[in-house]
Amino acid sequence: MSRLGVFFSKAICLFLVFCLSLPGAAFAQQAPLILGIHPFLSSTELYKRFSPLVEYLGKQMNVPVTLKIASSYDAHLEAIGKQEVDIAFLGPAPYVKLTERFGKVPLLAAYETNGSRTFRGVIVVSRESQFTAIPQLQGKRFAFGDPNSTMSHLVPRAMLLEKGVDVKQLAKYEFLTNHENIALGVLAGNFEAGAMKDDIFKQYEPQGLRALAISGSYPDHLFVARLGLPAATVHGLQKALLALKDSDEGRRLLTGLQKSLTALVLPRDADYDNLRSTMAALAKAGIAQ
Amino acid sequence: MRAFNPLSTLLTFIVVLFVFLIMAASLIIFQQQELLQQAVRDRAEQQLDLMADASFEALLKSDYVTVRTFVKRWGEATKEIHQIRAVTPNGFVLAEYRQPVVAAVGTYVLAKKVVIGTTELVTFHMVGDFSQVDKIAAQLKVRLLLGSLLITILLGGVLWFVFRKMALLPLEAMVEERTVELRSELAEREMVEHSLREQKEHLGLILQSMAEGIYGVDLRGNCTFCNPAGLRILGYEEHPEELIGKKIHSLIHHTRPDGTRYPAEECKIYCAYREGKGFHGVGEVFWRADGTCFPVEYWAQPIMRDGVAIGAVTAFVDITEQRKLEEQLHQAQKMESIGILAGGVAHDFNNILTAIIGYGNLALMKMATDDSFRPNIVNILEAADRASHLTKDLLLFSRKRALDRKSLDLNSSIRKMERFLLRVIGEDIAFKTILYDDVLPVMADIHQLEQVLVNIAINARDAMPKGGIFTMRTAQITLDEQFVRHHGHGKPGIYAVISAEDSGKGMSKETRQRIFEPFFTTKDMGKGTGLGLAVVYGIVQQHDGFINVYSEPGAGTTFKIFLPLIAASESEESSAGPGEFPVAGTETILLAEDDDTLRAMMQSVLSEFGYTVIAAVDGQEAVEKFIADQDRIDLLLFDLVMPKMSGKEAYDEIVKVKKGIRTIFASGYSPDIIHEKTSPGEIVTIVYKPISPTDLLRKIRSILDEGKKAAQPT
Repeated sequence: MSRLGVFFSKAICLFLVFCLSLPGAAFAQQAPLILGIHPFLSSTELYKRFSPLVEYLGKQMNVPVTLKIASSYDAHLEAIGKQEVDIAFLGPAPYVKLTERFGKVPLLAAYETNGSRTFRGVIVVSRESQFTAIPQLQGKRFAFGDPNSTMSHLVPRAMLLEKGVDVKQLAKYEFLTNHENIALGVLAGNFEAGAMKDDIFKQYEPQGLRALAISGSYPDHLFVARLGLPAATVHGLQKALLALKDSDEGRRLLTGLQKSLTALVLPRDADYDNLRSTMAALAKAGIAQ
Repeated sequence: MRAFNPLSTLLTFIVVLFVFLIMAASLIIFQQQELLQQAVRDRAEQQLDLMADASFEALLKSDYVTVRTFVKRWGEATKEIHQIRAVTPNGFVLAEYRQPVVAAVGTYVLAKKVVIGTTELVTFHMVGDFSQVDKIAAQLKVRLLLGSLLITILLGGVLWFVFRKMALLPLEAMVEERTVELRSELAEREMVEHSLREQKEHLGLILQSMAEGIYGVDLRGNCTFCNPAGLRILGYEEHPEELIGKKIHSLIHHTRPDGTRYPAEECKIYCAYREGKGFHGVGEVFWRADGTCFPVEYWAQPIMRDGVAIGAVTAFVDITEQRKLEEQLHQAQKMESIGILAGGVAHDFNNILTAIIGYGNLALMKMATDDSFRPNIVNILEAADRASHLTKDLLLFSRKRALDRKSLDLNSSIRKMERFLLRVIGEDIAFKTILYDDVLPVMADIHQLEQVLVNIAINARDAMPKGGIFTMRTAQITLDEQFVRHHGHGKPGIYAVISAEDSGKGMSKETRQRIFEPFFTTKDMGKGTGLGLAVVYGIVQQHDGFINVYSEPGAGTTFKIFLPLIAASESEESSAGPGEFPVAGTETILLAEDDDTLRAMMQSVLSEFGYTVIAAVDGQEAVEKFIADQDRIDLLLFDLVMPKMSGKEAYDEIVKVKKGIRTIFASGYSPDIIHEKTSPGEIVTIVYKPISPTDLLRKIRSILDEGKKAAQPT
């Protein structure tokens, strides 16, 4: 090798060292964190709502964060269990199913809506409807959300059973994927009744919905980390999420996720025990196995 | 009429073309707009169909959120869509997109139902606008406007070029040529109009200024105009409207001179336009506005237009004065004729009397004083003397007597005559003289003036047989043209006037008209010769004066005698001294007299008194005899009026041979021609027949002696 060739080799090495020493270079080299989301809303809406959070976490963690929307609730649970996502956002019923199927996972933060750590499910009818009690829904059309959804299927299903109404006694029932479709389906007159979480009900109540029955309080949605994610990362993520409520930017981000969201708080697994009981009862009835 | 302006015509055409193009463009735009709107609507319907189809799957899955999102996205992606609504059969608005509607933009509404089988899932309502169409239409408008403008300009330019080349330039040349012709015609017309205006002004001026009256009538006999003189003569000067436009025949021409009615149908003036020919009328009467009438002479001419009478014009004059002048002329001519007759008779009679008196005197001279026949001769001579006075009066009347006019004061003359006149008129009549304060110098023969006063006084006396007042006044008066024109005699100037007024019985008009005729008398037979006033007339006429008489029966008579006033500086000459007895002579006298008796008598008298007489029967012989014996002849004694050559003509011939020859003309006349044509240096004397031999001899001796004195050295 000539002296000139030695000189160029040294220069290239020095340049590479310089590039690697830059922060951006380090940000680019680390493996991105994947935030998985269950499809409780349309993908577009979900991207719109969660993109600021992804960006926020990336900045806080100094690690690129990408968003992955699962094709279904089950697929989402599978992805968490198989550690295909690093961070997962999921409802309380899937969390219960997740822990039953794959064991406990590190908890990052849970929703606090309107200052409450819990939320309720509502069985709705149209305002003009004559129905005043759940048993009157027999032989009627009923709209559910996703079969794995806490408030658009599992809890309302339990409420129907509690009042002696099985889906077989309904004239028709359909899973409309998300809460909004349920509200719109009832308002459009395509279904006599439907089930959804309380903040969706409040959103559509002015347009003509009326609450026929309201469930008890259940812990809200939450963020979890996969098993095996470094504790520092888990801690950093937890810290970043819990700190959202402390800044204006963070609060805007929170309301962007859900209008009623006031903070992300630290959850405990025990908070989901009452839901575990409900789901056990449903399972006993052959529902939500 | 407006002149043809090609530029403005072309501009008008271009404007019309532009407006047409704009209208056509507007129609196209309207049609295009309709098509575009239909296309937009069709496209919207297609979109709606597409949206319905696209939403169908989501609706089947009850994925309402997707429908909502879909509607919202669709609305946002389509600007011309204002509103999209998805309404469920129960009226719930499942999805809605809305954006503010821009005011004044046309909109359309579409609806599309999404059904499955017979079940309606939802109905899509779409409200769109035509803003894009309007934008396109606005762009199209601008383009078409610009295009129209461009086409108009291009077409206008081409047209202008073609029009100018093909029509305008030749037309301009023609117009220029025609303009020159028209200007020429206009100038000619203006000249003609100017000339007509001048003629009209001249005619107006003539009508205004002429003394004759002129008026026009139309075919209905109404007066169409009347000049100022006509209005003045007819008395309508203050109120012409009472004449103009009225039936003029009934106003001024309704009565004939004899007082009978003059029907309009017979009116000669109306006949002028009825018969289309002129009429001249004399002696008819016109009536004035004040009801008086006057004799007129008129000329009526029809006014013809294209050979048809449309009226008449009448010129007329008041012939009152003319009539008066004619009467006066007639009177003057009559007096002149009588004067010529009387003068002629007196002249011939004077010759006879001259012979009678001559021979009578010769006989008396040769007759012894105690001759028993002497009284007969004396009686003959006295009768001849009376006869000679008669002829003298006749000659005075006929103004054929010579005047011995001298400057004298009329007042002084009358004052000297006062006592004599008082005796003439008698005691029964009061005589007053009122004389002018200043002297009234006139050139007059005092004897003839006295004759005038005496004759006037005698006439006054005879007019007042029972007494009365006779007043004689003198005055100075200036006569102007108007007076002369009114009275028909005299000439303008300053006159002395003698007014002789009596308070007698006066006289009628007929008497007044004949009062100055010789031998005309109203007195009883034998009381007058009828020559008194004729003599007065003749004397006054010969003094370049004139006499007027004013009289009415029972109102007395006034004679006014006008004599020309002269400057007072000329002194009155003394009258001639008393006569002397004739003295004999020895000179030679050339006598020319055509009357044989008279020539013989005169030759006899002159020879008797020692003169040598060469006699000639006429002027021609006299000239011949003078030439033959011119050295011997001292004096020429010529009758003035002779056959072949008059005395004056013979004298003129002789003077050519021998200047300064002493000459006496004898004549029964007083020919002014002698005075007019003899120069001041010539020594000429005139004697008037009948002249007594004594007077003749005395005059001859006087002239010959004067000649001798003049010839002696001083």
